[in-house]
Amino acid sequence: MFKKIFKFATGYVIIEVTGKNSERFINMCLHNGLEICDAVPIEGGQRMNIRRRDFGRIRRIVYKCGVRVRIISKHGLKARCSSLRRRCGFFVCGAAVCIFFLVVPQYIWCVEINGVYDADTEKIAEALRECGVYVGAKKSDIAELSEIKDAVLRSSDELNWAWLYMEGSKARLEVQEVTPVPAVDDMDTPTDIIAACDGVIRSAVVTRGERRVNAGMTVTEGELLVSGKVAVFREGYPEKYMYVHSQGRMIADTIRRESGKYSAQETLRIKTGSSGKRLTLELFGKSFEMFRDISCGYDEYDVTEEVYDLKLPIFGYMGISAVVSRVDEVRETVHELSGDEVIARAKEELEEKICRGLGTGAVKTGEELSFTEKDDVYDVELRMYFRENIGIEVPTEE
Amino acid sequence: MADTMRIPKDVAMDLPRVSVCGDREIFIENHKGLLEYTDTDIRIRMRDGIIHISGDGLRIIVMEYERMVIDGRFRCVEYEK
Repeated sequence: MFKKIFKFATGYVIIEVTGKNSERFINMCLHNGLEICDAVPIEGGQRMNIRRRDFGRIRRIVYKCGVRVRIISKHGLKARCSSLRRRCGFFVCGAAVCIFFLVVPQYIWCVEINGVYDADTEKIAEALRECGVYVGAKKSDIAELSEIKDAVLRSSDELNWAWLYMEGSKARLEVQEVTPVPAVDDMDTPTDIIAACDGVIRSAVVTRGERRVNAGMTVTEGELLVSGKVAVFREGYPEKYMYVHSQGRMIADTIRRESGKYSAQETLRIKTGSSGKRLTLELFGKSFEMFRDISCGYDEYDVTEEVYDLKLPIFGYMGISAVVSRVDEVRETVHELSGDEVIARAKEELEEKICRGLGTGAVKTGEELSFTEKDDVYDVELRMYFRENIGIEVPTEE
Repeated sequence: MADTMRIPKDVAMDLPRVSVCGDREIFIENHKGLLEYTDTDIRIRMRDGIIHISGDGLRIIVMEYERMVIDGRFRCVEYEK
């Protein structure tokens, strides 16, 4: 084994010696101190191995013996290096790839914050930045993940829980926002109760404050129903008032109206079946669009995006993502709706609008729908009847 | 004299030392050169004669100034005067 390694290190040449005096050639080589290995007889001579450094010394022997020497192949470390020298580009690329795989996972190339709905993402990102978690930061410089989590939680009152994950070159922060605490009535603030809309009072139950309306009375929007200013003096004595936080349940029959114009013509975007793809590369936090024109030459188009991250089993996310945008050509066509379809859609939309402004515990007692049609445009009005609590609290005026 | 002084004969008289390992390998020391070399016959010159090795697939593994290793399937090793 050691002999083979030594032979490889020093290098050797396989030569073919042909001619009448090939045996003499071997003898003269031996007399000159040259070592010959693996001599194999061939037609008209021998094939043998000779050390690389000895090869230069056989010229005189060849001349004396009158044989022909032909190099079959060169072996050994030096020969291997010289053959690999021509593949310099290949090795440079290989080294670059090795460096890439060693260096890239040591940095953060993407910071992802998940679970944010109402909280300020910029504020959280800033807190992460202060902790050293940003695109281009070295992972070894980052402190303990639990400390970063605590710092993020301290930075924002809107967060209930957070945890930071390191996935290769990606820092992923999962957060949970604080659930809003239900508003508690401040019973010390004096308030009145006024009507949220027009209606006919059916029952008025007042638990605090001074009643101003009774069942059967018609009230208008903004009218005072219960006053927080309660008189506490007897006739003939100086006026004296107590201010209280009014409470009561004012159930009234109300009418809610909404109207709108609706066209019988609807524009539809139908895919023609023709589509194209556009690639955008995201390299280490920077985005590079591979195509200048995303429209693929279409006048009307819809775009759907899919993101593919480069993740390797050991290294994780490598900071490289491909965003494939699928561009579908669409054709806009005008679709004629029937009268019933227009009315049904209008009713659904108007109902939604009305329901947004309803008070608590509203019960629908009836509805009326009316419309007029002119030039394929429907003017629709929806009236809905409810029994609901119309009282809303407002601060008492002194 | 070599016998009397208990000196190896190959050293004292420059005789060849031939070691045969079964019919597969022959190790020769103190040879004086190669005379003939084919894959069936090898003739090696000694101080006072020739060693003729015949066999099949004969191959010289290593050949140096004083020693030689031959590989192959040997039929006979013969001394020619």
